[in-house]
Amino acid sequence: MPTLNQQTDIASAIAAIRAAENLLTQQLHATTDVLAAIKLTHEYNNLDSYLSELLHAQNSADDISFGNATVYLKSQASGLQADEAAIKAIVGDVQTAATIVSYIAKAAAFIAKL
Amino acid sequence: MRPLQLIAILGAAVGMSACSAGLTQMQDTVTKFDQGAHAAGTAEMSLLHQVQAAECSRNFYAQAFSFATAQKDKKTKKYPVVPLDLTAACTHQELTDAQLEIRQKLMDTITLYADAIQTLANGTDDTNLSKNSQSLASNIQGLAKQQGFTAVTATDTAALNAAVVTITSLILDHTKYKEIKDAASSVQPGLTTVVAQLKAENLSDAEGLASKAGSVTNEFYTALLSARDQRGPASFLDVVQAHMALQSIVIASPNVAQLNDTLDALVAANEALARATNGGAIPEISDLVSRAQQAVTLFNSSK
Repeated sequence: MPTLNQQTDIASAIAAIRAAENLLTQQLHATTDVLAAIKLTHEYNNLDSYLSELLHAQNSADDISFGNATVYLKSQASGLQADEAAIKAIVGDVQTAATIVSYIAKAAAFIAKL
Repeated sequence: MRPLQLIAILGAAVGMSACSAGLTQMQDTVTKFDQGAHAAGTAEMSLLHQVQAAECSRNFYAQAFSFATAQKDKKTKKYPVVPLDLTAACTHQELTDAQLEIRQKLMDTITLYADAIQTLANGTDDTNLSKNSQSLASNIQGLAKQQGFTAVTATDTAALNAAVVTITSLILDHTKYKEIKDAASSVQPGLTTVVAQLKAENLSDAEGLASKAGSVTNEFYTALLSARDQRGPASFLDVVQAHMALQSIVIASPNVAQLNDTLDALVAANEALARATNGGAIPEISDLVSRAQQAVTLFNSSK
């Protein structure tokens, strides 16, 4: 059974991922370069898949399924780090890239606490 | 007949008439409450099914996007193999069928309660609740006793399960309640807890739906950038086509606020029942019915 702290950490990770997604969408709409747009969309989709896993964990009502969900989330943390690196390379505006990466790092930190 | 006797008879007649009218009004009021609760339940289930449908849609279009945007190998000049299953069956992972069932049971707790107090208003006993309803209520109570319901955030899980046990206890045996207001009053704290949980879950669902809508919309946008590069002004036609396609593909983040307002109205209506003496026009009940109907319409129109 997830504790209150774990539930709060999942909710915070969800909020951080959504904030990163919104900034990625803004960047997508600001570009005219197709290749950059493809990469940004792929990054968004990676975060969206991760968000689904977070929501699945949030919906878990027993210890076993919650345990499985958190183990999977943690196993995907390296993927988030790869996304951070990719976003730094794709997003031209250094300041915006840093903000997006900081949101993803926040999400990863909340997940690490689970 | 002496004047005093006449007054006594008239008084008794008026009293009986008022009593009868009061009972009818209360039955009518509770019937509306029951209808409002069921409509809210319908809207809630629509949301849950939309969450599942959105995941399936997202999965397919993400796969299609990867397929369409694959880059040729610079040396071989060939595309890498990118899977694209046009007829893939969808397995729900974000909100599994088992998880949906638990969420449904939380909502069922409320609708079964509304059914139960209607039998109370009708002056009938528990046997008027169908065997299926009693069986479902027993099942839900058993799940709650095993702490089978989990709170999303602030609401304490133990308190949520205790609330479900309280409500289902009344559903299964409300013979000790002689009046609607007593039953409504005893359930009010538990109902508030259950509704708070449903609302929190709905808000999380809204985040998931918005994220998936963004995913599909971004894929279309990127494809249109490419179409404009290749077709110039003729890509206007692609834009028009994309616009129409998105309207049928994207499950717009439904107005979860409307659904949550309906759930709040349910709590307010029950609170009004807890104060009511003889039914009649209760604004909170009318508000519940109105909001619930709007929510059903809204969710049905958003696919």
